[in-house]
Amino acid sequence: MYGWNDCILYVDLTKRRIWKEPLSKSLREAFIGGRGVNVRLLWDLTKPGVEPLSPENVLILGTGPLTGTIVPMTSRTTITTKSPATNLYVKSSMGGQFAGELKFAGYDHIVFLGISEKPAFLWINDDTVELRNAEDLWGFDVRETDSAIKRDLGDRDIRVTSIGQAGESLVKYAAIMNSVYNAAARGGVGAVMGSKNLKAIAVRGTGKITVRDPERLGEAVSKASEDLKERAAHFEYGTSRGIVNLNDIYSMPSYNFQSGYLKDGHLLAGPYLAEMGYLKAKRAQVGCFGCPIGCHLYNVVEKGPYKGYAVGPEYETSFSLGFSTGVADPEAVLKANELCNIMGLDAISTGVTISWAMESYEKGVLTKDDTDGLELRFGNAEALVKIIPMIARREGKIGALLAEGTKRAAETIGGDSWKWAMSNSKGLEISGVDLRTFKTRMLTYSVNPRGPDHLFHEVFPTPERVYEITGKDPSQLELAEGIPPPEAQFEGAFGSVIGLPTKVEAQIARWYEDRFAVTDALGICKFSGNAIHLNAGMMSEMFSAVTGVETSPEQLLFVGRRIYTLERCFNIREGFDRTLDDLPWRIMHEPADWPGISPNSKGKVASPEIVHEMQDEYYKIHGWDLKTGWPHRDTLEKLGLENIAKELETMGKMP
Amino acid sequence: MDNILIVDYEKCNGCQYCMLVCSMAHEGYVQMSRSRVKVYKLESEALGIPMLCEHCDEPPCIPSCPVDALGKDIKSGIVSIDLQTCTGCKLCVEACPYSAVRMNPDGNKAFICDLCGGDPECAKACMPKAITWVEAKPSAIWMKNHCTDKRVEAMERLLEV
Repeated sequence: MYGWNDCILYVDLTKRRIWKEPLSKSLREAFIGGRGVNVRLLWDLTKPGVEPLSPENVLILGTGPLTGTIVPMTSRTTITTKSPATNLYVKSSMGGQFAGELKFAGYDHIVFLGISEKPAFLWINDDTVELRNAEDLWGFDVRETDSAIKRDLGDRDIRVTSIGQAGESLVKYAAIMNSVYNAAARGGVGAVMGSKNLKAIAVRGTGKITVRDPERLGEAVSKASEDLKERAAHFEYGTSRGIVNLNDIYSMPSYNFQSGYLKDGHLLAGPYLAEMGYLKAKRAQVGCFGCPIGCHLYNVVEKGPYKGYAVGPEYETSFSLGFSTGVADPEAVLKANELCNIMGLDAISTGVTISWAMESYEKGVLTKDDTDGLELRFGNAEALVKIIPMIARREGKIGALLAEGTKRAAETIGGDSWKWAMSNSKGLEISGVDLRTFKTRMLTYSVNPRGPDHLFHEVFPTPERVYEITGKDPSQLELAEGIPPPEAQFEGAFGSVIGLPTKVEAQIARWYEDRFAVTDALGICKFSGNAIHLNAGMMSEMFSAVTGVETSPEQLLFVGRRIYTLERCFNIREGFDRTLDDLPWRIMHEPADWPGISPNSKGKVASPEIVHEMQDEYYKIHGWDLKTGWPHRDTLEKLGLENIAKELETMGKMP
Repeated sequence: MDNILIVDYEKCNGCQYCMLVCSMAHEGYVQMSRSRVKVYKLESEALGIPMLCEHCDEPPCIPSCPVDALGKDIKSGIVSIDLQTCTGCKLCVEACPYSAVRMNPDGNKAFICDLCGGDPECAKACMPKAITWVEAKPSAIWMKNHCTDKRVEAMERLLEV
């Protein structure tokens, strides 16, 4: 077999039974791998209404067929399960070294069933797979776990995926971490792992990956590498630079989305961290497996109360732990970043949840009695750093409250606090873009199956892209307001309003989501940009050369749509309807207005009318019912999802 | 030798892409243990340290070999192993100060970097330019030695952890 290993590893933690099954031809060709095969397995292996933290839920790790070949930037592992944060579908993806090692060990996917009686870790040493006792590892942070396992097994080339204290404590936004600082963070996948008493997965793989046509692959890779070189130059300081430009134009979400500006916020970006001596590599320098770009920043705080090191902050980490909490002290934010990494927390949800608590405290909804004496105001760096370990361990009243995430915490505390809980009805905390001033993303954040974030469709509607997608010159599209040039979009001006005709917004969203699904199924990192991941021709060429399954770009994108649609179907099976395709209340009802805001943005709001209008167009081009948001039967049949349609119909979920 | 390989670990991002292309170029498939270059990683310091044959002026591996399987080509400067003669005794592995001679995964023969016969794939593939193939000017030779020393030091630190 080329590319794939043709092997799914099953681990029943309850019965302590381990077995292998082939990755069937039909599954490979219909869903490719990674995120695609994962969602099909999730559908098959869980019953409707499964409790996310019960033994009946499954935890699935998936790699793609390109990982372990010379295709660069194929380090991704997708983790799929039913989310304890949203009670809906979740996939969360991580880079690092794990996926490659798992492929070399001979596996494509791992499925965990049941629940271990005692803490355990899985040790995969090529063909030999065993469950080992992890009682002595329980309570360890991610670094300690990684180091202990490597020491005890006597091999520093072992790659470890694990949870920290947050996963053990079933924090609703606990992450799964690998290679010490790479996170599959969103949606509480770490809590599912914790509920299974599974502390870690250690893998050592010494096997080989063969490809069908090395010469053809070599040519494709050379071509992609040329584009990647340019991209690498663009990625100096990783994602962190965007915050400077956005802050400059008062569009960087701050103070729990009450402002677009944080004084001295720029200090959290790479160039400034370098200038102040925290950034130890000259530029972004830590790469995942097979990634020449290397987007991670490695920062060290050498002395003082915040002494330590962190790989980060990324754009999102700076947003959530810095801007949103009003903390511009780089040392405190680096420490908060480090704590999230080693205790295994999603930095986005952590920062956004703490920001909710800060606003609640300032508005008197939370009192010192609720916060265990912490002065939980915006800008209080000390409180920020203190509260993260409390969340990870569910310590005190405030730790237990915030460990549940913004939606549940607001329900518990009551008052008007739900109005500034920055999650939508699905229950996931929003990532760092002020949607009130970015129209295309109002749509994509609202329809994203896991919740309001950017990793199912990262939309940059540049004029070239709009032309590519619609076949029309953007100047002919009667733009409400001009589209900024590509450089400006990357440099931060994308915070301003981009008004494309509604129909075009829907087309753009769908264009991206097809490609994102394929990318995740193949195991590619989204930072490969136009070189690979947004280039369907390149992806299909590489896929064909690697696997020998001759596939056109259109066929590949068709698989992408099938994957994305099945994810939606899973949600429908779990009770989803259109009312959950919304945005946080503040984004939909409080117009953007703060000192310094640009006249273009002032007063803008993602009103239900605007969002619904875009969704109607989007549902229509997908073939989904406008009332329920459910796909019509013929939509599913066209995608080869007849069996799914049948099951939904027997449940009365067919519009 | 017209060109030399300079390996500056301070530019290495630890991604191991060089290992993928090395194995592919030599074997036609990817297997990390068949890569002639090995990137050692230390996450706590975000280190990646590529170690491979330095093709030393006076290679200690050559005299260590009891069956004279190792030799250095005077013209190209490339150190190579005669696989017919090699008995897999591992004495050269122990003799190498750079952890650069390793056993093949079958465990029966030593194997080392052959500079791809004079056009190393790893240098072409390394975008951060941690591995470069440059003209052997005196300044470059000085740089090569300097970078090699730095790597040996870093390896010592890594092995302590």
